[in-house]
Amino acid sequence: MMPRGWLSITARLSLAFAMVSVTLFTGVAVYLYRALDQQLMQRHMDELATKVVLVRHTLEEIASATDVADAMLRSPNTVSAPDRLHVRLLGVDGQLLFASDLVPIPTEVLGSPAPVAEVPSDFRVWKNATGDRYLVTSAYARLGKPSMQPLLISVALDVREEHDVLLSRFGARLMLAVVSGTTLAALLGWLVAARGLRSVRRIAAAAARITSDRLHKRLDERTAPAELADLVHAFNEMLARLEESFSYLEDFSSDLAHELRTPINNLMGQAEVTLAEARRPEEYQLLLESNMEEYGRLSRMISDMLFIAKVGRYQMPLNREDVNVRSAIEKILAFFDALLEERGIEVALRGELIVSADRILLQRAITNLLSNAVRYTQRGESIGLVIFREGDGRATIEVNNPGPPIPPEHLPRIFDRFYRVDRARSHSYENSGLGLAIVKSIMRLHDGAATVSSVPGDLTRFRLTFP
Amino acid sequence: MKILIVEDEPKTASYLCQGLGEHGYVVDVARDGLDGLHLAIEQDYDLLILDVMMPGLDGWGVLKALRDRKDTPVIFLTARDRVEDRVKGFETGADDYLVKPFAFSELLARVRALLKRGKTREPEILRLADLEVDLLRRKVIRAGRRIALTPKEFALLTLLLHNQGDVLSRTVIAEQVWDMNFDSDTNVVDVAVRRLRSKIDDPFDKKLVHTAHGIGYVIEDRGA
Repeated sequence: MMPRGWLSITARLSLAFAMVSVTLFTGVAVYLYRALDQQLMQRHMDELATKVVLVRHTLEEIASATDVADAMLRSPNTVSAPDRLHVRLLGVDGQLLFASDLVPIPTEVLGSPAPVAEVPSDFRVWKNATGDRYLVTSAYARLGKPSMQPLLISVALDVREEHDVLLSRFGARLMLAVVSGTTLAALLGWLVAARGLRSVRRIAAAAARITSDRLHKRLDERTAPAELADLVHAFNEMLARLEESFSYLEDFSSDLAHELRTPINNLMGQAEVTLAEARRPEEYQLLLESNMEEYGRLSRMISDMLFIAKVGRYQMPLNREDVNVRSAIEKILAFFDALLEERGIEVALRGELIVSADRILLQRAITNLLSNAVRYTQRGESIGLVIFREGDGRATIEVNNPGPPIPPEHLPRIFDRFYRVDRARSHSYENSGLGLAIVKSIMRLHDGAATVSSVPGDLTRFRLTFP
Repeated sequence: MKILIVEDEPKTASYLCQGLGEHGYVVDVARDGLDGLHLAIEQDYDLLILDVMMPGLDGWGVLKALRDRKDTPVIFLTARDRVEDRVKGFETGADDYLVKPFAFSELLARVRALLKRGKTREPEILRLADLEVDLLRRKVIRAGRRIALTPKEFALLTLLLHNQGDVLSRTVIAEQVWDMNFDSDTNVVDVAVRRLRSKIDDPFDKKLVHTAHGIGYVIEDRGA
């Protein structure tokens, strides 16, 4: 396994899931707990208020304070749920007239009692010595005889069983729900993330299977999820470029090996035959001279190959300057003068332009095109050199010659290394098979292009186009 | 004239030593950088030929150490032709730079050029056997007969005469006569030499311009 970041995407996603769900669940749980608490409390307050109304009702039917205890005990409504609800009646001067049991609620927790005609609204919570909670309220009540002083009713509800225990049970269940919900969410998050990332793993596995001898393989772009399609596409493009460079290199070495084979074979064979017997010095001299020609060819081939290789890796410095193409060509024509005259070939030079280029490289490119043209031009015919601008303004140098057109199947590869239209002439002293490849390299270095057109009935035209 | 060759490759050292020796130079060979530096400092050489890639102290190192003491001209030989190397070579103080494989004739021409630098005045008239070239009046006379040459033919003839007895490669000729500073796969130089011969050699019994097969051309008087 390769080292990963401190947390995998799967772990991060499930952690995020867990955090989101713990927040949500806790929020909901707190809300539910509070709501239940309030709901219950409201019910207790209603119960107390109802009790106050019932007690008042009972008291209205009696006329003397001494009858209070009897009336209370007789009335079935006043002491319902006696174990939870406690009622006490006090006289104006504070003496206890009735108590449903022995719970001594201190007077200071009674708050402000509701007046005779009103429903109690001041509810207090009181905790006794053992920690039990009571909800307490108080109100005034009048006896049947209006002239009598009102009595004070105090009611207390034991909320331990029906509120506190219930609520704490509910709270515990909520906690459990939050914990298990969160765990479940994290687990689900992990599953979802792992499933979602499966395609990433699949792509990685597919990529890992691509080796230098299997560069033609590609990742499947159709099955990749939309988010990864771009990545997969870019990866495939990179593979295509790699494959191209790879096959270029392979061709390069095999071309080179083939080209070396013939001269090396000549050198070995001639030397072997010559050395097999004692010979006259002139014969040795002849051998060495013949060898020198092969060596010269090999040496030129090596420097041409290195030139192309350097251009391919953009390691060739380009000394751009404004070059007057016409005078550059005139200089080349002076060089070719003797050859052209001997071959009986005319040259017509037309046009004039200044281009930004490396003078020596440009001359080299034109020289190669010209020597190529001379090779295929018959005595008495004329080579044309035309300098002009294309319709889109690009500077162009054309070298054209008459003669039979180049067969169309050769055109796409004519600028390739060691590609020769005329295989029979492939090992002539003149034609290294690299001339046009060098032209192409030079133009590429200038961000320009070298093109050829050759159709029956027209001249063969080689063009150098500058951007 | 004394030349020191510092080269670790025995075959290269041997043929350079032989070739330069046969052209009248006194040649010493050092097989590594330290020996070379020692010799170059201890003795007075007119020229150093230094291989760049050597085990131990390489060509750069030798030249750097040498330049603190002496100004002996130096020609670098290298199998690597990277621009940085070339720049480094000239910055370190090399006088010339040759990339392997190179023609021996080219090395010889550069050795001559370096040793001649700023020493001799150009003669006004060049002579070889019954051939006479007047550089000022641009006149060519052989066996008393005036021969008309084109300007390029004249330049080619004077180049050959300046280097009488030395073989000049096609590359050197193209560079010196036409200012074509690159190799091309044409036989232009051969044609030009053939035309020159047709004017200065063909009408006469004694031939002066000779072909060195696979190397180039040389002008010399080889007797009858």
